[in-house]
Amino acid sequence: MRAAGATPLLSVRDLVVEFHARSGVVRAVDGIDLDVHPGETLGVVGESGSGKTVSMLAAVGLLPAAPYCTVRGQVLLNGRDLLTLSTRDLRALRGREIGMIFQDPMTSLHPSFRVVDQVAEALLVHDSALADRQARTRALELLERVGVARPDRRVRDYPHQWSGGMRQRAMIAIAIANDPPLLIADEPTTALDVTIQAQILDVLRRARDELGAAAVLITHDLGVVAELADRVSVLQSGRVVESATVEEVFAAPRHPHTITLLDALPRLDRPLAERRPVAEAPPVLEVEDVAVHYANPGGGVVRAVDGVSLSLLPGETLGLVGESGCGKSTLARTIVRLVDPQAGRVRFGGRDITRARGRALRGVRRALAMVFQDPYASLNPRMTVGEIVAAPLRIAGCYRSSGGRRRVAELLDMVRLDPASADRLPSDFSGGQRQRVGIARALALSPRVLVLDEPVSSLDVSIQAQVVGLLDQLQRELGLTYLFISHDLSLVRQISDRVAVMYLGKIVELGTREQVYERPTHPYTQSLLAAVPSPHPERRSSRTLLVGEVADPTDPPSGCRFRTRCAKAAPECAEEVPALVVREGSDHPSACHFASTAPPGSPAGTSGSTPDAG
Amino acid sequence: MSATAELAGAQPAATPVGRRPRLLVRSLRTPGGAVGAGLSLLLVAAGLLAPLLAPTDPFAVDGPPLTAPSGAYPFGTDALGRDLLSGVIYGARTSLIVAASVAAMVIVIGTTVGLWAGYFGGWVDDALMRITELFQVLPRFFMALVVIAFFGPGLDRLVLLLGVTSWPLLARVIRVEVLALRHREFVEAARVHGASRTRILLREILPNALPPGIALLGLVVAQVILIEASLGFLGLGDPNVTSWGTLASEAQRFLRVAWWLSLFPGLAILLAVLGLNLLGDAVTDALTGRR
Repeated sequence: MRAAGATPLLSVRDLVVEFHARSGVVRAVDGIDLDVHPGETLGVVGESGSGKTVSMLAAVGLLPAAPYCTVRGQVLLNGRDLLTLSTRDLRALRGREIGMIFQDPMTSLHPSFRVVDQVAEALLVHDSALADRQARTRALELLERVGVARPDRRVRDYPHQWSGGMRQRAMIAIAIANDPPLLIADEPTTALDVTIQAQILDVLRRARDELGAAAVLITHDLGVVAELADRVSVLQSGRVVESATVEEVFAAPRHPHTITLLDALPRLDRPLAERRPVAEAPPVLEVEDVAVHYANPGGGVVRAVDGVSLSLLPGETLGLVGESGCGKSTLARTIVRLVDPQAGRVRFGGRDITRARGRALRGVRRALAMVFQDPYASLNPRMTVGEIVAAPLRIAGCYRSSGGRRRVAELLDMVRLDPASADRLPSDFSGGQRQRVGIARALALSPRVLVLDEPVSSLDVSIQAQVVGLLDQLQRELGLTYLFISHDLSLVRQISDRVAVMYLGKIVELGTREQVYERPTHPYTQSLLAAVPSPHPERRSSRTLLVGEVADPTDPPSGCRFRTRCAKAAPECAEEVPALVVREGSDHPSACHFASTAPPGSPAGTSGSTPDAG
Repeated sequence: MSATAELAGAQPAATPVGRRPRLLVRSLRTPGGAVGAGLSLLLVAAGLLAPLLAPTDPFAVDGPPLTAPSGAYPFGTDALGRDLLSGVIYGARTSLIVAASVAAMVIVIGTTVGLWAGYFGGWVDDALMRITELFQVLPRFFMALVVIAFFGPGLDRLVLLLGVTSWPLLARVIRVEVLALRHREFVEAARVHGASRTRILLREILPNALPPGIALLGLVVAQVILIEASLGFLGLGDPNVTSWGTLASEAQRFLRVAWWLSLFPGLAILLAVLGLNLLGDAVTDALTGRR
């Protein structure tokens, strides 16, 4: 805790926000009080729809005007009530006294202006005396401060040339451009990978500390709060249900909702439920040396998957983990035959299905189903939920014989949805409910194997826990085999028997859950584990962050592909591709020349080479 | 909603969070949409029920010539004593026949071309789009003049010509929609379940690609009505049917003595075109806010 007792910088009193819809008035924020003291970080936590974003938008006057929505209460910034300010005064204040960082870095930058100019604009808007040249120089400094390597070389870049992590850095640069005393970050890392999340949280922390600014961190993820916040306010249905220091919230939560949110948080330090032993049987699905390359529109060949072998035993869950762009989704799509591999084989139940067509392929389609990532894109918006769930049955020509509407009701019941909702359209359902529909559809033909491609990544933490619990239960009841793909290591740990870690088209480590999580030997796995936010505010990480981002898959580094980001990298890593084999002192395969349980960066790590910050 | 989010296994069957009104309802709720739908409906009703609504046959000499609007002749009569109200109502029928037949042809050709070009891509797309461009640059109005000059006036050839030349816009809109839809996850889900190409195109893609096309169709049809009226105005309308354009054309000679002869057919054209445009715009607006 920094400041205590002093007058708060931002003080929200009895804030009420109501939206006026045709169907009536919706009270999104129902009288909340929040205080942010100078130099302090307040975490505002809640599920989607709890009013956390709306309350902050209302505070800075970014909600639609009067007929659609009314805001009551008091929002004092340095003693001035923001709710009574004119639009003009508010505009002068935003950016200068309040810096804002939004959730989606892909859409919050203007696509047709250069990034540097957008950062410079943040300065020019508030200082008419500033010359363009100076603003640009200052913008480059800001970009460097938020960890953009050599921004002077990227002066001409447009947002689409930057990755999500880079764009979020640019957003932070814009937010801190005028040294505002208050930063508001709305889910700043939700759309990012764990490794990039750790980097961005680090940048945010440094930016805040350098400015000495106060911050409001809005998130649904308590793990992020534990990393950054001093105090926490938990929101539920537009009200603050608990407000305490971050240590208190994690050590002794008082409100049941806080406890629920904490319980839902997947964490690496929680003892795991024993998984049922997987029966000895030949593998149901085998992937042998599969390679998927496709032409990049910009030239070159993207080696999305480059020689991957895996096998799934009946009844087990194999977790496949890696950052965005590592090829895990392409591998999933290859297995379900949405993509044809350039090399290698996929066997299902012992039969080669890589080139299966017609009747043989239809047989495979019945036994091998997929659950997609985005519950908003994976359901046809013009079909009712009943039609969506029935579609696989109709396609297979067994709608009638399987029981028709009765079977649909049974499937909806299986995923804990009201069978009476079969006549509703997907737009009537929440994200978690839609994902249940997606699962019901996948189960329609009673498949043996489900390929789950990031099935819960776009859901709130508490909803994630429900859906994962449902998947776990269905697996036990129906004897399903899962290939569970995710970028979230703590989630994969909960549900998997075995885990494969993928980097840039290759599997780098493969083992049982205990082997991979307790005795990781590949530096990449170790870095990924270190990047997971720790729910221990008292032990904030002094960890080594994984530097840089996934290398360009059209031109992967020679030898070991991870070497450009690896703390253990040595000259031989550039020359020899490490094989995925069991190495001395380990009990599971790992594709690293220096595989050892010693974490990278520790004295035990071989060779003293420095990380390459490319 | 219960106070705490129960963890899986324990929670009861979940019910949907709310019901969003359907597209049509949403587009009709705006003032523009309501007026547009009302006017379009009026056009359709007048066209379909012309024999029931019209007091007399439009070609029948019914009263004294050039009577000003009155109780007996609400829209007045023309130089031959024919009832103008009947003329305008039967004119709606002509407009409707042309509009509906052209719309049907445009939907069939435009959707087929758009679906194929968007879904198959590659050389199929290239070939179809070049053909589309070819039809798009044809000057429709002058083509119509040429056809009538060669084959004489007639609704059948007019419909055929306009139908064959009015689809490119629709094809383009549908193609773009299909391009955006074909890699959406729900289409891939259907593919994973082994859906045939026909099923994917007709059940998964078409219902999602069509609405913006339908919105556009209102505008296309409004243009078609204008062209038909313009031809009638130039004296090139089908002599066997009453058309708003023909009525307006004949009215010119009596502009100073019988204002009603110009006013009512002109107003009919204006309202029909306005109504279709408003409706098209309202549907487009409702679609833009759909996600």
